[in-house]
Amino acid sequence: MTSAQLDKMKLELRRGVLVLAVLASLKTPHYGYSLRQQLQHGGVDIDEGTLYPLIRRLADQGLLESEWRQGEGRERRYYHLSELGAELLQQLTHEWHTLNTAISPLLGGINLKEHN
Amino acid sequence: MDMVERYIAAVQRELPEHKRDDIGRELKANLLDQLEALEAKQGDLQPADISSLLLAMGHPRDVAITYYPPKPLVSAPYMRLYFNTLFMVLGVLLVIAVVKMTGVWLKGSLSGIIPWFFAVLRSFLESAYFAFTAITIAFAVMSRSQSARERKPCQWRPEKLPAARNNWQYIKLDSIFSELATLLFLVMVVWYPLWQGQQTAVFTPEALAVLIGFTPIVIIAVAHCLWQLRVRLWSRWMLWVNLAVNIAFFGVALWLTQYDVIQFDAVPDHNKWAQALAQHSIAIILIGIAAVSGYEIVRDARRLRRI
Repeated sequence: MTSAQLDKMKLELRRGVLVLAVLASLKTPHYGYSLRQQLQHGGVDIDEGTLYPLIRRLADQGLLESEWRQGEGRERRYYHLSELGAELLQQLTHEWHTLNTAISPLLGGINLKEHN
Repeated sequence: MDMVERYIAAVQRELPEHKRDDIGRELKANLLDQLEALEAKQGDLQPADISSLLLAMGHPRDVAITYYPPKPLVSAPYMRLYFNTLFMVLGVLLVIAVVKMTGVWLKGSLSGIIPWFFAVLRSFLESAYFAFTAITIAFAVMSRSQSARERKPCQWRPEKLPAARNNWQYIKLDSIFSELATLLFLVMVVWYPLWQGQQTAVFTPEALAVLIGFTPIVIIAVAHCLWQLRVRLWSRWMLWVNLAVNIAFFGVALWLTQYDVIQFDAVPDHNKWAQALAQHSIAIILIGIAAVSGYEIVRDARRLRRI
């Protein structure tokens, strides 16, 4: 498999998971950069060019609420989960656990060392 | 900071008017946060550092697209119907152009087959531009109105799906229309001069007699094409009809090779060499028609065994 194919597959695999990670992180309010830091500290690496538009799309869908706040001499837009977003997060979390339970045994037989 | 302002302005230029201020404001806040973090890490920032950060963000056009992805003119659920409509309308326009320009050619306004070909092409393109634009605009409007409200689920029943077991059973629109155009061209070339009262226009009397006798087969083939447009799937009886039509075409094409087909007496400045060459060319075309018909006979016979 070429590196381009691998990158494409990884992107597809991560796409849905990133939404879950962002929604889960925004249980407490964050602005764009602080959210990225939080995700990065949690081991989810996402570049700004992907994260910032993703937050806006989720907000456009009514899953996030936002407000501009002044701090350290300039303004920042803080996002947090809306009621609808919280409901969806709960459902997605349940889905994630179900999928994880189903897929983990399937992946159990794969020797990671062979692929590294 | 001037570089950041210019970058934001460049992104905003790629955005629709109503999104510019909001996205620009947020992008600026995010960029300043990143620059501040970079400054805390490595001290005073040089223009090269800011430039590297902006380069990492991506080209302003790409950034604008991620914030506000462009909507396709025709949405994916309508795409299949859009292509079908385009094929259908453009196919009908091609047939009309062939009929119209064959009439002009037979009246004597066009001096040969090549001018006829270009006249057909010009006539087709003139109407095709308009049809293409009108259909695309109509589908763009439908796509916009569909995204504005909830799309109704398509009503269908599995038991009503056509009973096609093989991929070849699906008849392509382009093959139907090209066949229809060819058949109508043939009908017009044979009958138009007679309707106009010109007894000796294109064909020799021997060839004309054969072609007039062959007209019912051509009419059956035209009707069969129109039926194909309706059902779009080969059935057993349709294959039999196609087989019979192709056998008739095969036989008539070979039969006509025995005669001089084109009437040259009416052409004032002909010479023997050009006339012989033209008759020879016609004979080769007839053998080509017989070969194509022969291929279709074998193909349909094999299909009949598989259906």
